[in-house]
Amino acid sequence: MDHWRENMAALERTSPQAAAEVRAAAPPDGAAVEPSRRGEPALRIGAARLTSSVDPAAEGRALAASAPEGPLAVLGFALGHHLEPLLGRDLVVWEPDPGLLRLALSSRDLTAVLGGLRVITRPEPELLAGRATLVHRPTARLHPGPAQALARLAAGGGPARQRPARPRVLVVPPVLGGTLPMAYWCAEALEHLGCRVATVPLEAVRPLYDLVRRSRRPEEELDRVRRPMVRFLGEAALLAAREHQPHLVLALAQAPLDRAAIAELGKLGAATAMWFVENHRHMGYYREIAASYDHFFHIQPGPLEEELERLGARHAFLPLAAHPPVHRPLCLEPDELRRWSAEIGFMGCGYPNRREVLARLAGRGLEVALWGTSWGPLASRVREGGRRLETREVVKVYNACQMVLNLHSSPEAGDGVAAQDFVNPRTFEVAACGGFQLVDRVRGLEGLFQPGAEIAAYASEEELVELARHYRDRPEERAGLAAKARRRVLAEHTYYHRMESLLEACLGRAPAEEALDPAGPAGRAAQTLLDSLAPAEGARAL
Amino acid sequence: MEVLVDGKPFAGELAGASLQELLEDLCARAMDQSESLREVRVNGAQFDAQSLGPADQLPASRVERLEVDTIPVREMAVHFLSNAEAYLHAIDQGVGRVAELFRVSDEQEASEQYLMVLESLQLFVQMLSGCRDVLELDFEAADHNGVTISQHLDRLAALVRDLLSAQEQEDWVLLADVLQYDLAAELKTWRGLIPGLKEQALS
Repeated sequence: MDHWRENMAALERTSPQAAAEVRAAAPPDGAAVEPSRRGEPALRIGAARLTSSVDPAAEGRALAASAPEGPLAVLGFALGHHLEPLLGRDLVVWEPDPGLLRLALSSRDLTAVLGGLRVITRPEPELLAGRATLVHRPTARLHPGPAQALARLAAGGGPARQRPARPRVLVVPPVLGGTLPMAYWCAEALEHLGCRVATVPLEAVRPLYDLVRRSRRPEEELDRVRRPMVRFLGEAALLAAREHQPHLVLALAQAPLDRAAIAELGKLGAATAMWFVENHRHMGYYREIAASYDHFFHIQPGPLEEELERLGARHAFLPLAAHPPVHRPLCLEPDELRRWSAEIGFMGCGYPNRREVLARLAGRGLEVALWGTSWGPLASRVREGGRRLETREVVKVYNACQMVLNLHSSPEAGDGVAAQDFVNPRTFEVAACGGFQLVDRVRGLEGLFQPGAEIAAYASEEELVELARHYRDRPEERAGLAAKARRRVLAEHTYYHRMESLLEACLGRAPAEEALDPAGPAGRAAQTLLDSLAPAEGARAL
Repeated sequence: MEVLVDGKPFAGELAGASLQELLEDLCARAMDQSESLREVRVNGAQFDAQSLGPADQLPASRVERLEVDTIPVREMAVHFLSNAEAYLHAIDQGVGRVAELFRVSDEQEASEQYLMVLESLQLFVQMLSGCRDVLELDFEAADHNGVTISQHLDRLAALVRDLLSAQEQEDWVLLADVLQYDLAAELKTWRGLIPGLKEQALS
């Protein structure tokens, strides 16, 4: 007998939002309900069972018996066997997979269960806060992120933190890649903001990483090296944390920390945060770890935020930035100018969409000088032998070129221009260098710069060609726009700004400067005390 | 090095680089097939691998005085059978705990205790096999249900294969099921078989 209709009616009464999601969802691939040895329905997905194959009811009773007292938040619905004994209690059940719930609703009569509790398919912090938790372990194995998020949300989002005057921060960088210098810029900015910063020097193992990265040995064999390496690097970060006793651990994208290491860092009392400065569409690993951090910062509003909500991660948008000590106007010597200048220059990696667009521009008389790697058929136009440039060299390109082309990357050649929904670091860095750039009008650009007034932005190849021709012979207009863009970056988009936002989100507002200032209330009170003591001291001296 | 066997001095010089090799040499030269080691004392203290490390890693140079007590293997086999029910009961309790851990806890934590259960079970099977040889037990004689000891051993092997398969598929709930419902029941059956084996041994 199919119980779907009655169960759905019960779910709609108590949990309309979940009911809507269940109605729209399909059961996950490989999910099946089949009779257990004792006859009760049992649930599995592929080869992994979510309930006992022998006696799911007894298993459910045993789990329910371990539930703590008080209002309860349960992770995992499965077939509801563990929820039946808990009826009558103040109960919220978070089932992260509405498709699985759909299957459960067809499997057995759950009207009594569904009538006595609230089901959610996404985390609702206000509903979960302050509850004791019970975890259906097979669900947690399928959804480790929500399992960790539940504990955090039930605890009310973690203990309230008070930002010390000089917080200790541990920065965990990736081993290599473009994010590595960003980690050090974060560290410098944090120091500038008064933090005591330590950075784990994970880049020291780069040669070993390269050995594995470049090897063509079978994946299994490589995994035998990768797994202990990630554990080792996580332990190294933990060791550094025990030494430094940070208030905050900040990991940058691709930092080699697994869930266990993040949890251990949290146990030391530090707030844990990741700044995921990646395009989430290319780097799916964030799903594994986002909810493990106390704070997950990203550069890409939109669908990523929905996914982070679903995972139960506490997230915030933190766009990229420039670092003024590095990205700054330079006085280049004539030979340097010759080496790094061009009428239009592009510095970066030859992603497929860039190769396509730039090849077509050449056909329209717009020659772009290239620096960087992976330019394939355009290699003849690439300078410096197509090598990867050092940051200081990149800054020279941004300073020397009359116009810097900025085209956001995509692995899809057909994406062309303005297809992305994040603003890349180049946008901020060129502006901070005082360079003039032509940037594609990606989603989110308007929130950071005023296109047309502060930055020249194009939405199509046609518009790019028009803008390039327009600005080619107008150096004053270029200089005016570049100056405005630089002012905007220095006022709002530096690593100092980003790190201040991050500190505020993770550790709270900075203690009022006035309180620490000798001219503030505490300083004034101390001075008054000193003043009143001075005559006495004088008297003693006499 | 001073060597005593059952309290009597051993005249010869033992050869070997580790305690393990010394003991092997001693067994070959001072004991016959009907005897087994019951207790080993090194420098006056009972040998304990936990504090001294494995016998094969304890250098012979650190052994100044070696004392061994022997036991006839037949006596040892009877002793094992006398204690087998309690031993199986302890394994059974471990099985229950491990199954519960696989259901409610992190599989990493459960795996550590699971390993101990498997090692205990392996030791039981090894000892049982030794008893058969020493006591000339008939494993083909059927019990009151018409099932032979060999068939019960086959059943145990099949269950271990089920456990392995669940492990390979990372199906921890199934692993808990096999432990809690199948292996636990089989261990109870085995506890019922032990008195018959003891009787066979004594007759």
